[in-house]
Amino acid sequence: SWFGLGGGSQQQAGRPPSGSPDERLLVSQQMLEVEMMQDLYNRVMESCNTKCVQPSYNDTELTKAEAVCIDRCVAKYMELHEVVGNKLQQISQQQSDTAAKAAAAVQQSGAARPTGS
Amino acid sequence: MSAQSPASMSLMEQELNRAQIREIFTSFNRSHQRCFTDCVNKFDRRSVSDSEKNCVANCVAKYMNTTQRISMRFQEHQAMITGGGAVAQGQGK
Repeated sequence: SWFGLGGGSQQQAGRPPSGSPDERLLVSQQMLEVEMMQDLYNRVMESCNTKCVQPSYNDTELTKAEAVCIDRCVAKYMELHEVVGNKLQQISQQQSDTAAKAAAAVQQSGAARPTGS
Repeated sequence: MSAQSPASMSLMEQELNRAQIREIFTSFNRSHQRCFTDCVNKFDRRSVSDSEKNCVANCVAKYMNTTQRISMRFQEHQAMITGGGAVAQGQGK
């Protein structure tokens, strides 16, 4: 998964004993991923409903145009999921690089100062 | 996630950890939805165009700057409220 959460790889290799704290932690991690997926699902639902379905309710069936729009909307949304994920990773990487450089600079300036005694 | 074994992490720590992760992915999903809404308006094809990708990438960066700034101000206000409360208590003595 994008978060590296969940015990996907752990499922084959020795599962923790049932009811143990390790298993509870594993389950709670996997539940977080389930929650994330549910949230994503709800947002796709909301977005594509808004984007594609006109609020005029003379008919119950979707028009062909609406159906096609929905298909493409979901496809685009899911494709962008990855784009957003990569961009966020890039940003947080940049920020931690900047922080690391700042920390290094502070350390260096501290080292350069003569020890007064 | 923390490398500590569950036994050594208090229940509170575990729950805080979960809350933090939930916050992160919700923010991610929220920015995704916001940027999709603002940047994607045409559905003439299935694939995402380059201009849409650009728009989304910029939008995500801007969204992050926004949330960070809001978070900063929010924390400042929190500090003011709790710090100010302590000062007021001292004055009341």
